[in-house]
Amino acid sequence: MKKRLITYGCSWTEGEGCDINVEKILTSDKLKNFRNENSWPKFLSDKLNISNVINNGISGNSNRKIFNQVIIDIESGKIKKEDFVCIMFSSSLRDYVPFLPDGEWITWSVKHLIDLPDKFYNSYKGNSNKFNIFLQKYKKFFITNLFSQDYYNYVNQNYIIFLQKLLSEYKIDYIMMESFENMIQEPINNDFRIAIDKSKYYGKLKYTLKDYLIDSKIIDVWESKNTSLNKVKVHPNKKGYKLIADELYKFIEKNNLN
Amino acid sequence: MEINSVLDFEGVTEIPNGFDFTPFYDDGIHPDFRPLDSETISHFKNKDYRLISGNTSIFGATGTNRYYTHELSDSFIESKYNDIFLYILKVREMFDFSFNLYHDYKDKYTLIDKISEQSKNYINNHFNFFIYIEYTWEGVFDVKYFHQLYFYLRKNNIRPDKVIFCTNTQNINELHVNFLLDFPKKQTIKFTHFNQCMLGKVPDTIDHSNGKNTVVTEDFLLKNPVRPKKALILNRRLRIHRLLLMSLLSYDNLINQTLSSFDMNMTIDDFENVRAVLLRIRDKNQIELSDIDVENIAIGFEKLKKEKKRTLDYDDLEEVIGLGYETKEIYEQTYFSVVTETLFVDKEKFVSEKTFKPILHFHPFIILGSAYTLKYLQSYGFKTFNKWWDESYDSMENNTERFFAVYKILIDLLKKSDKELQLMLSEMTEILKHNNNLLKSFVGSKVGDIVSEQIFKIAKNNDITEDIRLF
Repeated sequence: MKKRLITYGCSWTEGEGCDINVEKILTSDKLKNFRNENSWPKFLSDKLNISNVINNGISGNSNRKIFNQVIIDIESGKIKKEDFVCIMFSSSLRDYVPFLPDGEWITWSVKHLIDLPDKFYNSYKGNSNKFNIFLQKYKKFFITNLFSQDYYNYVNQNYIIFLQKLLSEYKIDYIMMESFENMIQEPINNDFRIAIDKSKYYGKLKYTLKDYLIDSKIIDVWESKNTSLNKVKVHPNKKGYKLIADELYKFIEKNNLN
Repeated sequence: MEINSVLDFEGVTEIPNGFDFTPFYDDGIHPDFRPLDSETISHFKNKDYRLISGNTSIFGATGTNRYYTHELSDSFIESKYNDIFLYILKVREMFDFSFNLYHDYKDKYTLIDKISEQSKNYINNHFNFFIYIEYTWEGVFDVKYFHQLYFYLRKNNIRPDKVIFCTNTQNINELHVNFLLDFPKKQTIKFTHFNQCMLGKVPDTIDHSNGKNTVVTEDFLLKNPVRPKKALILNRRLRIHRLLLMSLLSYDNLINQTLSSFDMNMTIDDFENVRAVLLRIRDKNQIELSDIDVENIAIGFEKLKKEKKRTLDYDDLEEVIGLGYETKEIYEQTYFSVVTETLFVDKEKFVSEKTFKPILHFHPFIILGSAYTLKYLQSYGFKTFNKWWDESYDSMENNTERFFAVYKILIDLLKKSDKELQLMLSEMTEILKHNNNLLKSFVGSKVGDIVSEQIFKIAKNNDITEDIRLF
């Protein structure tokens, strides 16, 4: 029996969207608790009979931040051998990128980029108007001529492999999964997937939890009553998070991962 | 100089390029199937798979040769240097479905991702080998469509200048040039246009063509009887320009002089607070309404709203789509049509099948649609009605001016007596016959010859500002 369930991720782990009518009236100190109580880590812990849940999901989190947090927690001994760790990756586009000025990143998600590209072009607000205009122009050039998944494929494979090896070295049981975007996308020019243990990776790098909810064909699993997903901000609601917990529980049981 | 269409797959019936086989493999079905059969399409739909590609008919009358990818070789293509090879991709319905923009689906591929490697090699290595992509379902063409096209071409290592993209959007080149000002490219897609809605309406010119269509005859036109109502206004969905028109007619107590239809259940906007909607339109500078206009339209709308739905020939307006569904009686009971087009305030210019409905029933028409719609019709040889009313509205780019100019013509026509309107129709007879005959003539070799000639010009053209229409 595991002592604690420790989860890492973005808003999909924090529980954003579980009940937007309640969330919008809560103060920030109560909001995170409310979301955590109604998100998949809580429901999964119930199914696994683990009473102690540490939900490290943070709305807006990037994969880079998730990666570093897991490393810090293992190195510092915060995560112990008796714990069960779940890492749910977010959109790759949130990572700071080394080929743009320090602190710059693309946007929240692929869908955000398509529907609200101006957020990316206009995000930098430095003191020099000339530089701001240059960067805006450059970003337009970048997005149409240079942007590709190649960089993220390489980085993300390395995130996954590093964390898997680290967790194994410390003999910590874990699963990994993707919330709403694939970490690795075709075409894959540098393919290291053979080094990834897919038995501990829900969806085998091809199937996200969002895909699972779409496939469930249950329409009232999203934060908005509008059943169309063609809205930029889309999270599961409490029912959706429960379904995710059920699905992850099946995956854990099937693969004897706990 | 011949056109050769190239298909990746050989099947019992024609399997379109860009067809995704994954569902069949995933479901354990042996790929001995016929994708055009309804059974196969049902299989896709029941399983929630995306059916993203289809077949086009525009090259049907051109005498196009057909080859399968495996039958071709570099030397064969080189030997046919006077010919053009087209790898045809047809967006099956909405652009969003075929280009990974519709997020209700879990699939993450586009039509372009499904092109075979062999065909990609031919496209990039032979000057006379092109991809032809056709999207003629709607007239809207958003900036993100350009982005998706260029992104997926780059992702698949396909040169944009080897792609001919054909749309229903009349001003596609203008939109493309504007896009390129912001996002310059060394190699650019060749955009062109043909009006699928116009050609799709040609079969409807024939009485009982689909077993249920009825169309007005030339005999009826010549008899020219008194008609119970004056104007025909078919609306279906109350888009904003239609709402303004119908509300003003309602305010002016003129609606009873028309045969008109609409269904408020199909409206896109929330009209519970119509004043707020009108003010929003004003704030967006789509149509500049004065305070008095807003008040009058709101009063007219409240009267209209009591009806909820008004139907003429078909009760279920959800069911009625552009092609087919022609009923002669509503045209025989009115003197002229007000065509309330799909687009009015939009940057895209688009002439839908709605504009061609009055032509096939010998009706004169005023168009509440994009600017230059009449100019566009005239470019195909259609004649319009400048002799009887002021058609300067057509060149008014300001939406407000254009809207009220059309409304004024409508009011003036509604004031005319039956006798005056009969005389007007009698004077128009030759034009109405000409337009009807012209529409009927857009079949067979006439279309084929033009398409054959134009496709070579489009393929050779590298000047993005030059507008070369496919038909």
